[in-house]
Amino acid sequence: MRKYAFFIALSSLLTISWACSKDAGVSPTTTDTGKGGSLARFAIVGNFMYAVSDWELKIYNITTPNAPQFVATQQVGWSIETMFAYGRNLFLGSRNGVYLYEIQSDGSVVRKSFYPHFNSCDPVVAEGQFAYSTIRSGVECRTRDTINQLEILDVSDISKPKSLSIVKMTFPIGLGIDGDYLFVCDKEGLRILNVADRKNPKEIHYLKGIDAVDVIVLDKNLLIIGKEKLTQISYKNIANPMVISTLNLK
Amino acid sequence: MKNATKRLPFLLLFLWLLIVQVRCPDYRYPYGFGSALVPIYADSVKIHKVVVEAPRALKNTAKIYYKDSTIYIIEKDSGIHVIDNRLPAMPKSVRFIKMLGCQDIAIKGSIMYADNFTDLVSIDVTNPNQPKMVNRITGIYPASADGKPALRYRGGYTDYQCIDTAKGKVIAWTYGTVDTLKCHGKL
Repeated sequence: MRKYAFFIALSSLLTISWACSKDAGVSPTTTDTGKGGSLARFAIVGNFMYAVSDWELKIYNITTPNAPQFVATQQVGWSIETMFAYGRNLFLGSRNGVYLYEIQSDGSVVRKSFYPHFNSCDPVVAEGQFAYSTIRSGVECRTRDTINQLEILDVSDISKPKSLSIVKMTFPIGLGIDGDYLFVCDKEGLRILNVADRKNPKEIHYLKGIDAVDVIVLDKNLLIIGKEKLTQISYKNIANPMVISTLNLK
Repeated sequence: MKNATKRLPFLLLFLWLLIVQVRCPDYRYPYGFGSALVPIYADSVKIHKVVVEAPRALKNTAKIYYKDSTIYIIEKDSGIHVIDNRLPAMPKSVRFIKMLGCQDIAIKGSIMYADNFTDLVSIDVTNPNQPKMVNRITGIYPASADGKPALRYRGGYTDYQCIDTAKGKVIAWTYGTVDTLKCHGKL
């Protein structure tokens, strides 16, 4: 009887973990595609590879992966620096705002809206019905204004993005989102925000001293790349995020 | 006569300004050296090589990519660090794919797409220890637009040396010291 109980417990455990992992599979890309940071300019959606630079979007058909076919060049905006794919949408971060595009079945893209802001640098990520964009200023971004902030947008209707909140930062760069938790690489380290209430996000940690430029959010683990270091942080326990390794090979 | 000698410096200055301004309207410094974006010409370096090397120290890094327990870190314009992350507590750098002019990558299945100056290359990473280039599409990312550095090469810099077409095709830009007596412009 005890033997049976053990098997029942084991199989139910397996079922639960299978169900959970299936739930967690709401990712912007298929499992066949890797995951990039928020500063990326390449994105793969289905059988298409997108590469953005300045004002051009290059589209490749990668149905035959080892022989990509160049499909077309589309003009998509100005001074574009980052691209983030989510679902059938491309979010392009530029020096003057966020461009929101929808991918068509032939791989081409159609602009749905443009959310303008001050002249500055800004990566953008999206999940669910929200987009998160950091804006930083300084020499690199050639602006005299000093605007350093995070902005949360409601993009449930991508043709009408709406600002929900703005949070002041020091010099934010890359960012990543996992449900109600947002991770922002800022000047002195990594900020973790609880954004359950998108209109009133709350900073829960500012882990200073981490060399952080961009971040990839994996399953409860963060890959943080800095100028010369790779730091991995586990946030299984969000109240107590822990550095699990650093790599710099120096 | 006395009048003419008095005027001579002004005349010379006028001629000098005329020559310089006509040759390059963006000319800003009267003499000496300055820092600016300098064009790299196609035949000046061996640019189209993809070489797999031993791991090396991380520097000038900013972009990161993850696939199947392997982390790829781009060293700006130099190549890709390949890191075995099967044990996140003990990441291990295993290879450096030396590829000049690389800024971005993306992976589908076992194929990595990467830019190599003006080209898009496909690299088979079925075995991340032994990446192999399998395809190249040339001339897809121009280094310059209207004679100026393309945005991707600009960084925060504002000055550039004009392109000397006699030296060949420009495949990239790098930051360096320029002879400000030669034409240079402002972005």
